[in-house]
Amino acid sequence: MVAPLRIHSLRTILTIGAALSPAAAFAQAVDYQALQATVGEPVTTSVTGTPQRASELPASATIITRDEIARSPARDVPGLLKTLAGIDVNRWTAGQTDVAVRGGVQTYNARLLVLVDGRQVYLDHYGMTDWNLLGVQLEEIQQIELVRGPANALYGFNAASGVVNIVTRRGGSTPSVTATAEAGDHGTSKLAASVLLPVTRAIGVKLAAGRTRADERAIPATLLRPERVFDVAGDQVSGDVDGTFGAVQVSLGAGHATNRQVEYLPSQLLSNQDYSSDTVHGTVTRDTAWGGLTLNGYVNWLDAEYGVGAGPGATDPIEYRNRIIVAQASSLVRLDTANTLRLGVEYRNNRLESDYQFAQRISYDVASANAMLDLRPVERVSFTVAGRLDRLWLHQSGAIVQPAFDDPAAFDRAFTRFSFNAALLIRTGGDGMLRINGGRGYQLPSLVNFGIRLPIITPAPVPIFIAGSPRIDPVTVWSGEVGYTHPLGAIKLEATAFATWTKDAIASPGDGLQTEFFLTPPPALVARFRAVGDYTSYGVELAASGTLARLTWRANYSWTHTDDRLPPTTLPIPYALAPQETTPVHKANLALGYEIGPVTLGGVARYTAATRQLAFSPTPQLLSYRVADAVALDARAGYRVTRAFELFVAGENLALAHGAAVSPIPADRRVRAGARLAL
Amino acid sequence: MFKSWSSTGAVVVLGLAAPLSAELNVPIAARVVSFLQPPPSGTIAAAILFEPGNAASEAEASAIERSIGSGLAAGRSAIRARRLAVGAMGSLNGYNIAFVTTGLRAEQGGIAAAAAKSSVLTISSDPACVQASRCVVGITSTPKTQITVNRAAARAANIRFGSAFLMLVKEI
Repeated sequence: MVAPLRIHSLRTILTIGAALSPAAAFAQAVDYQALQATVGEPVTTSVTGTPQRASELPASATIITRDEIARSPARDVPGLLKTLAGIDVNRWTAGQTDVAVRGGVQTYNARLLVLVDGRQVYLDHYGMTDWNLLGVQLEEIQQIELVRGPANALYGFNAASGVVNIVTRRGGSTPSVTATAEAGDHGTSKLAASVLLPVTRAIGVKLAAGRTRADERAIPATLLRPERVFDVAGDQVSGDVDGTFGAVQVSLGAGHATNRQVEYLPSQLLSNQDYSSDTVHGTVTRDTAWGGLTLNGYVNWLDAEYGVGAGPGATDPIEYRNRIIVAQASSLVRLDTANTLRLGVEYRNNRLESDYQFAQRISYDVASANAMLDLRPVERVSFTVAGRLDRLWLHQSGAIVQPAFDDPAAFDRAFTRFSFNAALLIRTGGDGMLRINGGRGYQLPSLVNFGIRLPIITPAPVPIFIAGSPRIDPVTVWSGEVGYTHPLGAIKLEATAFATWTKDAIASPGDGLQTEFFLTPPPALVARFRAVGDYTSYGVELAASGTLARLTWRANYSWTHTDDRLPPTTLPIPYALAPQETTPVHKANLALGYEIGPVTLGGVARYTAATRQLAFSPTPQLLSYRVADAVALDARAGYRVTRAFELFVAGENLALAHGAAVSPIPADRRVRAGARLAL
Repeated sequence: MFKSWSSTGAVVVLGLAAPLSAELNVPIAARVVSFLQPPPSGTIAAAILFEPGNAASEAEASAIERSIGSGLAAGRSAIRARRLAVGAMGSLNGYNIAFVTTGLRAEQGGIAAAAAKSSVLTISSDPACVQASRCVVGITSTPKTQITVNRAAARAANIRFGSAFLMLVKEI
């Protein structure tokens, strides 16, 4: 039985957002540490599924190394990503962050696939990433890999605008401990540790745990807010066992994470959420004379409570229980000394259970097959092409909630999509490299998009429901880019021009409540998630980096133009999607690092142009709020007391630029100090 | 099949001295060894092949010796090395790897034959040795680390590397 809600709590709970479901993850038995140390630069498998040097990737990609993480003033993964070209990081609240690649800024961004060691941490119920629920500590990260542009041919439905793959360290031949303890203003505190232990010559264990706390930012009176606002709390623990037995590598692991925070839902309402996730995963790889075989599987569980503490008179929190099972097999075939073929198959089952949807259970199965061919016809030229076929079967089961607004048979639906990527790399004189690449991918509607059914209370004479639609189609994303990289002495120069076309973008109902009217029984109005239009993003990214004696530096500039053909943002705003005004046109970053003796200094200056962001006023009415342009300054100073022990102080937004968070809620300044142990 | 590694349990002292640009980058060479399939374990016996009286060869042999010291980690194993005059190398029996110093081009044919017979991994800073299929691995460090693996030489010595490693290096 569904209890009615007040309109604000409904929206709070509601959710209304776009989403997509998770993409495939690849088993990764590659020893990144050893390979990086051997070839002298970071190595990744995130672009094609095969190991490649960072300087030879057939896509716009950036790798953040372990050393860079240790010296950065950032306190989490989005904080590390926010200084990269083409990246928008919106700190909507103290806990909620969205990362967008090349435009399309929105809450609950469903277009960026996030993986930890090839296993998705992207949450399928809404198609979003909770960056405080990744189940990974900065202390255990070997590197963070960002791939810009659709990568669906490798990862499936959810990599519509890019991929972030977080690679953790694996157990080696020597024990290792990395731990951080820090505290600061605004109730900020963190305890985190990662331990690597060799058990035998062949088996290693990794244990990691973390606890973070932070107060929420001050929410202006001009914004609608729940009666009670959660401060940020996150707790995580995980363990992995890795074994090497001749040419066979086995990895088994499990993790548990919890997170509480206040968030902007896709509807742009502020709501307290309480998340709990669990995962178990296993990988077996076998190296062969002709390549390798990988078997990979994992199960993720998520319990999510929406609208906790919305206010007196509100209903109990809305609970979603999501479970995903993924099984993957892939084979890497070295055709000869230069050419590689990769073949893979995947099956995933994804289900969402809740009282607030069409039926007790909404689920789908996806079967996929993919292939990638990497060719080097001549020394200076390489060509990569990848394709993937996904077939999805949608289902519903259990009791159907009445009144029902769809024919149950509409959920017995299947569709097929083909994604592809292609890239041409040409090495020019003087170690320059020209890259031309592009592809087509899809953003899958989330389980919520398909099946949510949420009543809201309004003064209207008939009840109003927010509902998903089983007929909603995947969002099509086309992309193309041209990039050129050239070293100039010790300076590396990069320039990229890109364009992305998004067709039939999915949006949450906004304040306009464009509704369908159902006569029987009883009469009701239904506002649905739906495809509301198209938008195009195009722009330029310029980047340079280098070293000068003890100084390391990195600078970039991004220009992003967004042209949307979406419902207008004139009042009443019908849908909570407006990438043209939410995406900053200009962004620039300058990062510096300096090391002298036991002292390390690091700083980042970030410029973000003014935007407008959607949020509800206390009335409540969905409005577009101006967020001022900002120059944010972050810094970190460390002093190594011994080779393994460092004291540090770090701060974010030191110049107190209110627009630095690119959120309707102004950014504050946060300073912290702590100690870091690395043995 | 690469022959099994001896296991002595000797205490390993890591020696990671930075090499001169013209000399073999021994730390990189040690990492290359760790990508052998199956992965080596225990102690890896290495011969530093040099030609007495050849200044360049002797200098590189000395540098390699210094880099390895009393033992150099290679994955879960450790390399222990000793000099071996090329004229006295015999069949290289008892060794797992051989560092081929510069100035031995006239001897590379014999070294390759001995290495193939005893399944010894040959590593050199001389690109010509690898190009000529006399050495299995070549390592150069300027302007950036470049590792070359000769497939024919590897097959001849029954040496196999992990596929992830081979996809990152230049295989000829």
